Amino acid sequence: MTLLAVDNLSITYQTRSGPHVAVDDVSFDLEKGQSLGIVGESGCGKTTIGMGLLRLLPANATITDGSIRFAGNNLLDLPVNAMQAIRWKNISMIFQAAMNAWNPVQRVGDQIIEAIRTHYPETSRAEATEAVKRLYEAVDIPGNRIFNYPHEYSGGMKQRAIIAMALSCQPDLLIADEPTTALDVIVQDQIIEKLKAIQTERNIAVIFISHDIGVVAEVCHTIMVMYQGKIVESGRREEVFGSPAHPYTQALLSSYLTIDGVFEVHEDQAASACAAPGELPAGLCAYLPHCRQAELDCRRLPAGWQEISPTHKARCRLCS
Amino acid sequence: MPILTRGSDIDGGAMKNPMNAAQLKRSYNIQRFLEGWSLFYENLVGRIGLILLMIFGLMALLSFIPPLIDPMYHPMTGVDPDISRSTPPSLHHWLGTDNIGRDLFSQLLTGARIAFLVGVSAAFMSIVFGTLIGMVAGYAGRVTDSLLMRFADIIMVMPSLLVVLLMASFFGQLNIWIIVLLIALFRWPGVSRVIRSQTLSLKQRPFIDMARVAGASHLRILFRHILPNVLPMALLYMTFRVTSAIIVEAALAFLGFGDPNTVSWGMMLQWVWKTGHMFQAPYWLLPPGICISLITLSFYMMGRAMEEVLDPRLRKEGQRL
Amino acid sequence: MQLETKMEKTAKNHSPILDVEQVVKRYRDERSLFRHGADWITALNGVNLTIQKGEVFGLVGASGSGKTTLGRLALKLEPYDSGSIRFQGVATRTLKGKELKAFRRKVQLIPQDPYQSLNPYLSVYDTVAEPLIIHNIGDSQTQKTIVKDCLAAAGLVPPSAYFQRYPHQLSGGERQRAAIARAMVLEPEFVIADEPTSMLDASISFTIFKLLAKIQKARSVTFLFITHDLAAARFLCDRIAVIYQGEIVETGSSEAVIQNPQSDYTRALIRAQPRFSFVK
Repeated sequence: MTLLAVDNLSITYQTRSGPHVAVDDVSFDLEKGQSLGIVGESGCGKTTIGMGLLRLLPANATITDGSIRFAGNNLLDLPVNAMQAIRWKNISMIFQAAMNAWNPVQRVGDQIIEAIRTHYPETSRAEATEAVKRLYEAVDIPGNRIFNYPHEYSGGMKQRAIIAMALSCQPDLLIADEPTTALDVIVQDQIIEKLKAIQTERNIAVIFISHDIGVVAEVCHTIMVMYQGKIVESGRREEVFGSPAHPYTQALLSSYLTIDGVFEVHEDQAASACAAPGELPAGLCAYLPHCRQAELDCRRLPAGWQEISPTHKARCRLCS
Repeated sequence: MPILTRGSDIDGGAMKNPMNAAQLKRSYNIQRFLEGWSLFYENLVGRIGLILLMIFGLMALLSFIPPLIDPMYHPMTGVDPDISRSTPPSLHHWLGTDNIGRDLFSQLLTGARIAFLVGVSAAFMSIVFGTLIGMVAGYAGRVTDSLLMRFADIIMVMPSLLVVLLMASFFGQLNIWIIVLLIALFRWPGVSRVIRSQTLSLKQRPFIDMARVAGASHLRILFRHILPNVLPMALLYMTFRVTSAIIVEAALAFLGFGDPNTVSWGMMLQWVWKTGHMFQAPYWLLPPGICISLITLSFYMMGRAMEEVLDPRLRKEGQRL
Repeated sequence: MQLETKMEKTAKNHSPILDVEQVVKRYRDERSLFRHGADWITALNGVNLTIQKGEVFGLVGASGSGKTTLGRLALKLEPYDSGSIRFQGVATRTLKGKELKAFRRKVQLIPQDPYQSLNPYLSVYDTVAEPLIIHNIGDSQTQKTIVKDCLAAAGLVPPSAYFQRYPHQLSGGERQRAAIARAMVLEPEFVIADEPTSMLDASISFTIFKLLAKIQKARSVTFLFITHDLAAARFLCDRIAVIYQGEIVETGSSEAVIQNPQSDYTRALIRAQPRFSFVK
């Protein structure tokens, strides 16, 4: 059964300079145990989607359209306490820079135990401590570190502890928002490997949000590329990264530096600056101002979905 | 409408300018001021404080008018030829008269003017002094910091009112400007502490390193880089200093150590007390007391609302800046 | 005056523009506030490094390895505890006053955090022009031209449109370009780029790297590129040093180090790099 079905989700922020559409008509499905990567630059709306799925948006954001069906139920229809029951137990999240969010004056183990006992009040402290021990084993943190303070952990350890806490109530879906940013490459690699292992062992669905396509490519089998609130391309990772269809995806790839060199996609795909989104008439391709491959018709006709394969589609008139 | 999207660009050779003309010209100061203003305005406390303050400001401005209408309305020297004792409010004298027939309303208006004058000047002086010392202490660190802060501590624990009273008793009646100066000299330590800690954290920020790498002298760093960044905090503390300055002046005047040539609210209270009218003339006693309380409250309220503007952590969730 | 000729003389004889010898730097451990006695953290433990004039040198290491500290010491932002750092043959430890100012003119920094490295109260023009004002270079007209050229070279085009803009009106990439323009305005001989793209998205990073490469070639500046990203170091640098926990574990040409790593840590670094292995 489809674990998560998001249909036509749109989220708008009210800012001091006017309304800002952060997520525009986003739809995707996620099966149990599947991994989905959402890539895009800062400001493209990927974090907003993550927060929106858990209904943790700030006060000035509204979900203006769409539905989020989790195991059949539309999360947007749920009352607050029902939603709270879902958070952490069914869907849990690793927030951006979460490793800095540890309470510095409380021991890490205690913070995780507190989380467990908040969601499962019948759990005794001893049982919760046992659970934390097992979680720490799963994320490769020595058991004797459970009752240390956050400042005694290294950055990578803090992040692994965050993963442990996110897994503590055995969720079906884990949303990870930039879990490896600010970590150095060796630790990053360890965390990624750990996430992959956990995902397969526990059959957890993972949504991995990042601007770093290399990291996402390691973890996720399905990729969604976002640009200014819209999905511009989605498909299996071999398809999206191997034969990117949308000019923006090509631009992203050709500006990604790997140890073996730059992705040679198209030589003239050094992408260009962002336009103010409000200037474009609705329906036209959002990437139009910067697209090096744009044709005259792109300025008149809307950019609809083009199917390249049953699993691979892109929102660009030029690809098929 | 163009939106500011931070960090959202893949830039190639030529950068396009995504700002519209109106936003282009706005300096950081003005932008922050406008944003701060709307935040401030949303705060009920700030609005009330501002309205109260505007009322007092109006009073202060209007204080020049009564003597022009008729010399008998002059707060100090105006004497109604028909009245030679304290009278309750009447058509000619909206708040009544004091014991020698001077118009109380005119005195009240003048008191507002003096309150602003004293409050703002004393606060301004203590801010200037406190900011300078705080910046230097925070920036220089070590020995200079310790010395300056110990000096500040000594001043801070001194019973300022007592010292001023002592000085008044030595030198007789003090001129209002001397009072202002004395208030300022006793009130700067509080400011300097706050500015110092702000300077300490600013010192760590990369743009200060960049100034050093560019070869900037310490003086330049202090005044071009640190000062603009501590100024908002200094101005905030100025509002709090104003309240204490006004109260100190009122206290001095009430106790008889004020400047006898100025009509302040404290002076009014002194006169009502000295002439034994405290319980007989509520129209004389109450207005200045209420005014002192209200003006202090209004500055304080504004200060609190400004605090919310300046310190992002105090803002309510969902407000974006 | 005297020091400059001394520097010039030694510069002719000494090809290394920067010579770091057995440098040690220790910090007090802040975390020991509640414990008695000071704990010292050794950030750099006898580091040796030589950078030749005109080359692009990469210092690669993880966070906490000491790479940023070494950059700060080379810039004379902090003192070191022992060893020596020589710039163009002259020890930097004793530089003071006019000599220090002359040194500052030749050595510049491109900082890591674009959101904190620009004074929010200064416009782009003021920020970029400041080094010129400090060193009394040119009159206001000349300064304007220099700032214009540097902004254009850094990719902020048209430059005049950026003069009156403030940091909060710029994106991360634009701020970093402004920082680069500021670093180049004095025409320095040695530029230290401290993780210039670690706070930017991967896509913008690449364009900034290309910009740095372009500037380096155009002005023949010597570069010290501090980074945790081995891929970037390979792309930009002629020679690399790998630093781990305050010690240099490997030095060599970038190709040699990456294709034939000698130290375990370097090998681990290379293994951990993301590769799109499922593609191809």
